[in-house]
Amino acid sequence: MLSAVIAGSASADDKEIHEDEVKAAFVYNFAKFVEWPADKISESINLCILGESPLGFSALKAIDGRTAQEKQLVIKLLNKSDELKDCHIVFIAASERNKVAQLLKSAHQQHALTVSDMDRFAEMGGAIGLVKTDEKIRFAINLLAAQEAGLVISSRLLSLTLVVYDENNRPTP
Amino acid sequence: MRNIKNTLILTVISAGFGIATAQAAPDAEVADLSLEELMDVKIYSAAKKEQAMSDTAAAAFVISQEDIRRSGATSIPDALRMAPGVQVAQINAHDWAISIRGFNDRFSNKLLVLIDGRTVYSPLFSGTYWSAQDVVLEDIDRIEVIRGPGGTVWGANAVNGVINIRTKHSKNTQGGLVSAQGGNYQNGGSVRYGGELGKEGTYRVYAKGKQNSDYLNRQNQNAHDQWSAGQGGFRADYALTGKDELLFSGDIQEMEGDETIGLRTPVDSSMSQRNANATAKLTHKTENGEWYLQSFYLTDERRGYSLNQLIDTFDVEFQHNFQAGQRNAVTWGLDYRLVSDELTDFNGVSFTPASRATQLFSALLQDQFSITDDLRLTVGSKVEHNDYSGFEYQPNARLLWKLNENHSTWTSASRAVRTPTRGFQDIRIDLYRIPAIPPFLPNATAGAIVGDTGFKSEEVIAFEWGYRGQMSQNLSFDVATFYNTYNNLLSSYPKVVQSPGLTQNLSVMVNGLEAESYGAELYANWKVTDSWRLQPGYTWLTVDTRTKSSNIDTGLALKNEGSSPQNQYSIRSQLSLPHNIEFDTSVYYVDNLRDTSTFQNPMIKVPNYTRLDLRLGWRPIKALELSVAGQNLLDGRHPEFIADDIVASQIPRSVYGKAVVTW
Repeated sequence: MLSAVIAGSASADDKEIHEDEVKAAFVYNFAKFVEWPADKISESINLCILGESPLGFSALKAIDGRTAQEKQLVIKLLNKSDELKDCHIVFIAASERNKVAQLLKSAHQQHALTVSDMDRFAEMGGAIGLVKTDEKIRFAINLLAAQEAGLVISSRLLSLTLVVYDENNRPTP
Repeated sequence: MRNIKNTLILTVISAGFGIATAQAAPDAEVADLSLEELMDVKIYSAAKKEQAMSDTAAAAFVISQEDIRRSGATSIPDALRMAPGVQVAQINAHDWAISIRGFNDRFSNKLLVLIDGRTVYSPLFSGTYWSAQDVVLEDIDRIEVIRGPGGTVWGANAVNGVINIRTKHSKNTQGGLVSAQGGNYQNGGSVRYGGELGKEGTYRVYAKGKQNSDYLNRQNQNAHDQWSAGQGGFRADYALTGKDELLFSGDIQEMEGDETIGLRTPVDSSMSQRNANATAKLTHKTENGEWYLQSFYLTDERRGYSLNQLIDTFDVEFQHNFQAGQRNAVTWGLDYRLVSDELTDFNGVSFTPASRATQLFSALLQDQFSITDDLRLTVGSKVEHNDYSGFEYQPNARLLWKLNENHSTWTSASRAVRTPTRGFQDIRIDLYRIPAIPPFLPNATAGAIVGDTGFKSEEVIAFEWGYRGQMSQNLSFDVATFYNTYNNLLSSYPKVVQSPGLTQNLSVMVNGLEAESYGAELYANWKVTDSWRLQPGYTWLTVDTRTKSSNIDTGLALKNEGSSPQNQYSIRSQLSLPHNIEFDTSVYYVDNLRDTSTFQNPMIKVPNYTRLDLRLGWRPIKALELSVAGQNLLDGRHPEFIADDIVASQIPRSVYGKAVVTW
């Protein structure tokens, strides 16, 4: 309301799409191009959302139940104490930034693909970081992190990435 | 893959591929787009909407959930201390004087306060009973504080500013939360649970209770101001479609406590309050904007020493924002409000008539015109009709100039009004009555303050200028200055009314004062390191008041000038330590108050003070947060404000421990 109020200042250009919707669509696409270890595969691909409101409700709704690799994408909003065991993809909100190392460790142990839109996520050891440049969304992949989680990322995804980090570039925690 | 070596940048900026254009076809769902297409989509962000704060031609400040949590604040008034330009002064255990840009008082009436879009100030005095304004603090999303007139969009009463308390969407409060707090003065706890309503909806329900013990008064005796309160409520949000969202919420609250009435011989009394509210809101996204339709109902019953109030408010509001062409963003809206009351008087305060229903109609039209990409002009006005003062118009013009990516400056001119209410037109406050003593005193004598049905709106014309800069990724600052001229401010003039056997010495309310005020607010946000944030702030304020004619009482003129501090300094530090430990510090310096009371003579002063609040928080496991906090640590106790109508207490040093469990 405030923006409208003070000056209606958030003027949305007609052609623009809400950031959250685009990010959610990216996450949905990632689900198509990642291979999980055999013992991790279940009847659905579970996308777990960790932290405070990383993506809007309607954005998540737009991808909930869609099909990737012939499986249904199921969205789970996690509470702080929930386990990551059933998660195939863990989206970590920027609000969880100061415990990211710990979260990444447990997510990777559970063979989950870690995704976030927080700053320098891939650099910090997350598998895929969404990066905003010039009012567009790109992504960076940390191969070592994906490997640590036992995931294989399709070359099609790799070919589109903004930056790939390998172990030489991985900052020590 | 391990063999991929030596690569900081292995590949490839996708735009380099010259991938087929992908302005999403208007009807295609975003999720259907391929990766390549997605990478070419231009976005706008929610952050932009919130940055609208930093991108707006007004002095605005946001207190975030994180700020509230780390401040150790135990109430909304305490949290408001963080906002620059806001005067927060506690009067006793349950009453506060809070204002923006001066004119502070227990019922500061030039300030609009909303919780989730619902006005919560009293329609009787246009002031706010702060003890009744509470939510589960963990469920607050943010508090928006707008300094300066907001009448164009918000309507009457937003003369000097707006405080808008916004709770979280229920999808962001899923799961359970239990919070318990115990200390030397305040004990309390909250329970909240949030879940899903089918596939489309989410909800939360909560209950909260608290209890405060007696403070000491200025004579170091028991101040007789203990209080306790309990409340409960819910919020439910449904995403009907991708474009429509429906919100329902409701709360009930009950409180009771003690207070000491500020008569010549103070009287210990008690007060109680019960209120309930319900809100429904439908929000619809259109192709080029958004509209909402909101309705709320409040019922508020308050019992005290001199007045029992039962006030019902019904409000329905529509607002529509849309983009018109490339350069115009239009906002228009309509609002209707019905307020009805039943006022039962005793001990001297009375209203004539005792029951009254009043209506308010208002319309808003505003256009934001982008002169160039970097220069934006906003012009608009609210027009309203109320039963006290008839038609009122509240226009503004605002200009924002983005100098570059990181720096912007803005200026504005606006008019706003504080419309009269029952408390200025229909009221009579009996002060004393001396019986006749024939033959020396043939008549009985009575003294009273009386309202006047001719009392008009108070008016401000405000000029503001501000500058915002992002010096680096880690340092930003904000400066705002203002010059306000006020006309028709409240005062009174003496009038003697003779009737057979009775002489009445009346103080009649009148629009008898003019004033000007000027000042500045500065603050910075400095991320010293990843784990340490510093936020210094400074507020400077001067008010000059004049009587408009020689028979006007000067009491309120002196109070207008003296009831707010001239200088306020603050610095807040948020330090995150290893092992999930947080150490947070706030220091507030508040200048002395030269005069805070209307009627009392000599003038009552409040000395300056420095307040230190500390908090140490620890999160041993994800689901548990433990903290200890101390407030007002530098001083055993001191007064912060002395009001006319109730006896002030000294605000003591307080310490508490708190545990929050979530699952």
